[in-house]
Amino acid sequence: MAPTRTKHRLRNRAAGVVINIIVAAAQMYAGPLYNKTPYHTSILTGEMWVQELIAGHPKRIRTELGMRRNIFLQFVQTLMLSGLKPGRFVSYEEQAAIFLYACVTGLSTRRLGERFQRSNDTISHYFRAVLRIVSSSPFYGNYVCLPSATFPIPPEIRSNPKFFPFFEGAIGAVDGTHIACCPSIPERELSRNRKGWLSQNCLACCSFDMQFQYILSGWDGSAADAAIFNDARQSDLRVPVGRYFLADAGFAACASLLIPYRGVRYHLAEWGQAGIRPSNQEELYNLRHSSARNAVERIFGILKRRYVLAIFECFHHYKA
Amino acid sequence: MSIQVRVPPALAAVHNFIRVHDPDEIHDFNNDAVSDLNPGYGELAMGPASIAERDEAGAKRDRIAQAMWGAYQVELASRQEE
Repeated sequence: MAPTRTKHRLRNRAAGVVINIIVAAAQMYAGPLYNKTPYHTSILTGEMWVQELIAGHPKRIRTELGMRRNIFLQFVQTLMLSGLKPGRFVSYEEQAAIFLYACVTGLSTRRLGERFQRSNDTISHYFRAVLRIVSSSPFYGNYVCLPSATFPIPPEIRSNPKFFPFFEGAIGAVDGTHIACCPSIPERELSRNRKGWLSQNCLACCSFDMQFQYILSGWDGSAADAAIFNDARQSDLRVPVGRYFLADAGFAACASLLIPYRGVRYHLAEWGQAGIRPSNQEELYNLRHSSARNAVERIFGILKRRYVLAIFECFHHYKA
Repeated sequence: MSIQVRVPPALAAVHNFIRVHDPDEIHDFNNDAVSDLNPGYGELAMGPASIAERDEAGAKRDRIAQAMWGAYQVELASRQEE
């Protein structure tokens, strides 16, 4: 009996030790949760920061939110008129600032939360709210629209004797570009877990005065420009009869596109030394086509510099 | 529509908003630094445009190129005379 009892006692003691360890571990683990320390305790709230930007040095708001002061205030007004809902604790100005600051910096939700002293949920909620307004009608339709049949010949074409009257039917330029998917802040974690790195191929039409006329997004990164254009053309990309966009050699010829000659020198100087001047009509055409089409390359460059969120992925998508 | 699909149109719309209401702002971006790193010469693909349509597109291009070349020759000749 005695040995058994000793065993019992030993076992009980061992069990006691184990329980103590578990309790201690649980306390260590749960301690911070029970004594919850507030996270966003900075005295500068997001609202105060936004008001500082509005009242401060004019370059400050331009740098942080990508807009001058008056344009920002107008942007806020336009969002309200386009249906942005008032937040319970977050002003219209702060909602707009959360969205713009996310676009300008490409920061993660947590770091935006630090800037605005708001929870991840709040940041994510208002980013999405403004994103939804800006990417749907009436806001989107008012600012991104295709030219109508009565669209006049663009002054950039008409005033340039190298382009006019040759390109008088051109209403803009079109190109495809890759935009990383993961910088979409609320979905960054999700997309990273799924495939590591994702991109979406976008088709963009833009005018010669550097405005977007049409955007088609969401195509798989591996889709060819020509295939995307063909899809767009059959769904919602309307081009007036007799008018066309300038496109690069990645697109197939059709009534609404003017493409360069393939296998012909493209980058030449018109009045340079005889050796690098265009020596036939195809070369001259390609030279001028390239310089007229330049607007679309510039607009992508500007968008990229404006918004880190639109990181254009460059290298491994095009099989040269 | 998922969130990330909305990002490119949203950025384009905000860009246009600034272009419309603050037309001079574009000059803040100096020319040499803005050209896209990837001008994007995409893969070649056969669009389903019909043969007739593509022939017409080709003919249109030829007409433009020919007209350009004619004007260029005139300009070249006048420069040589000077």
